Amino acid sequence: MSKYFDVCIIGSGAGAGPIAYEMAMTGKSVVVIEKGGWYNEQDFSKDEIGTCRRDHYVPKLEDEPHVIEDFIKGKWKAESNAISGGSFWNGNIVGGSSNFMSGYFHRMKPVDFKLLSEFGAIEGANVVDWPVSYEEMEPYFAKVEEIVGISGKVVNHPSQEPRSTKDFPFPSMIDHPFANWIDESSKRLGYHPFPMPRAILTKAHNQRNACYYSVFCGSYGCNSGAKGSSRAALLDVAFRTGNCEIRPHSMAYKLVSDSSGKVTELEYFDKEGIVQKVHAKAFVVACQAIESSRLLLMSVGPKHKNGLGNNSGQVGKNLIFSAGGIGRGDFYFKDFTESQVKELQTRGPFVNRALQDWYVIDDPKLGLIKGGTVDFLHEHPNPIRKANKLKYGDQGKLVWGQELKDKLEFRFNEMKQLQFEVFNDWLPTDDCFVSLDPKVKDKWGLPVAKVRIGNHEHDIKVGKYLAEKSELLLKEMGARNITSSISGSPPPNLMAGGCRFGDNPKFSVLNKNCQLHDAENVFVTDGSFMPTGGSVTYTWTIYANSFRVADIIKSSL
Amino acid sequence: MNHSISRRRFVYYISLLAVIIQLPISACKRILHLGNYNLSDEELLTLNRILNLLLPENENSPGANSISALTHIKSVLTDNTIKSSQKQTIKNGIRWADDVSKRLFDKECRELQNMNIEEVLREMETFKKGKKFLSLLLTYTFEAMLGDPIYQINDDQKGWKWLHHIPGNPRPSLMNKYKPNE
Repeated sequence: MSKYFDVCIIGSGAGAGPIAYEMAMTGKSVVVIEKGGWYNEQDFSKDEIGTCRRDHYVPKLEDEPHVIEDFIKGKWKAESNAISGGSFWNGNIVGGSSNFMSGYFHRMKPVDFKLLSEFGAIEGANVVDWPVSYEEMEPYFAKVEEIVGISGKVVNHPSQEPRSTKDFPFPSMIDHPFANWIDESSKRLGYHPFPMPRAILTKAHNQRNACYYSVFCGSYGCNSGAKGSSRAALLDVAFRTGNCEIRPHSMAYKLVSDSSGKVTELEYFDKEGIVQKVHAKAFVVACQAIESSRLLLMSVGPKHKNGLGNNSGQVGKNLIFSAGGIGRGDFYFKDFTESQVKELQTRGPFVNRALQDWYVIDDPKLGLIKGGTVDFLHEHPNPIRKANKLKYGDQGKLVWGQELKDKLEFRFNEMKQLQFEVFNDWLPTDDCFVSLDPKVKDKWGLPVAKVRIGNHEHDIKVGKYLAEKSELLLKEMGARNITSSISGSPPPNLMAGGCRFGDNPKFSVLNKNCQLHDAENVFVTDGSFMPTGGSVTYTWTIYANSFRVADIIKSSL
Repeated sequence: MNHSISRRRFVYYISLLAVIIQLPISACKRILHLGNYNLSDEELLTLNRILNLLLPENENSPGANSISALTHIKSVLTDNTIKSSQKQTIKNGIRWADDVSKRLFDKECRELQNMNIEEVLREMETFKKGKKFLSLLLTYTFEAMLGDPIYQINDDQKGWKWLHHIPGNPRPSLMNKYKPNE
């Protein structure tokens, strides 16, 4: 395994796939180092127990914990999640968490690239403008639509971003009848819903089949290859060229640098726990935000005493998640006509509607502030998960026996729930960052990441505004029991930051090309580079930026 | 009130302590460090009675027995990926249920009428650890009722049929099903 590669990529998710694809397609030799296993379409099934309820695709927390630091009763309290629970792993297999995403894809808007300039500073938040503009990123958003495959339909709405192409290359997915209900109610309220772009193929492409509407999409691996995971859309293609080697079950733990500060090799443990090394001209770190910061911090060298790229102490800082939350409303069949109930019971299509009417909020009480996105979706179809929510009754008392059975029958057979998810900016602050825990080690004896998780109150204010608007829509549609939950709890599957890019090395880890300021043959291309996250899910932006950086790497080799 | 709570907590801790002091040191190590969570025949009988109270059988819907909830929890207790703290909670909870039964009714839990088991469980529920135990049993009962029958649960898809659940396609096969200890 001593072959010399052009590029070595650590991680295989959305930040990794475009680099591997571009290198392999242009004849460069590339190796992908992935901690988890390598699965294909035949390995996946719609098995709730195996996929969603056991540590099949993620590490066991007792082997690989994180130390999570929360603000409790006036002080920061750190505890290993091997004890407290709550995993921050999101799919440690070839293709990473993109295998299990729902594929809600929205582009960031021009305004997201200049948050500081547009809205000014917010006390307690480290808001900055991006060193690149939407215009520079736009061709790469378009490239993702073509290569990864995004389906959708461009319609006019208040926050439609500029595009270089007229419409999506893949037609929009089939709508569930709920979409029509949303459209009709929105008209009455003056809202502007639009078909949700999805990283899901609606027609066959590049040896991948179209979606067959299995119902079980998010949290599951895709059996048709329609979902635009890094594996199905990019790594499989790269591998077929013969230029891309993929090494699963490989735990990278150190980027070794020489006396000049340049990285010369990667060290990792193979499946048997034996140390292996990879030599390459360029190294790309894309292990997802927390683990990318951890790897850099562990990679101490002669010129990197505090960790690779950390000479200004910025590695791990300004970690962000997607702020917002979730809301829901129940549609009792007894409230609707027979034909309406039939519509509600339609099985297969996604709800397929989103709202960005308040991407920028101009409100007499709140002023002019950045808002966000609302996506509408079915309740997740997993039956065990659904049933498990019913075990609590009034005041948190457990329910069992006939009372439980009655609840189950009603919940499964007499109603349908429509949910919405709110996505808004998680402002970067000094209270959300990654460091190395001085005590807790993983199964290899390596220090685990310690993650302090603090959120800015502004995020809650924005999230609640969006949730209130969304609740009005559910009410207009005839839902009961409308509730929402907006909190500062981080969604572990939507993380970014920690190695923000910028022009000033004092306040950033990467330059605008996503190269380490102080080790130019190392790039970071997962969501770590993002100084602010926009008010959309991150994956499309990560893919687009990774294609952008791939062009930069290609020209440097 | 305070006295009552103290007494209950005392009973709980004593029931755990009893496990340790009644076993030789080597056996303690096996339970605490090597993760042997196997249940004795008596413990299985107690667990079975509790499960059938949580999910009783009736004409129109399956109960714990007909979905193999007991078998499922036995397999959970040998699954290396399940947190050992959860498995310990289940094992402790069963012993504790017997202790509470003896204190309240002077009988083992498995010998009680359903209405008395209900009383035992409601008392356990007033403690955080008791609630955790019962909550875990309910969760794993739901798994047995609504998980794929390939795992020897949800016999004849009784849970799915009752709640008109249509499973996703493809279902797990013998090749790609979850194999906990591999």
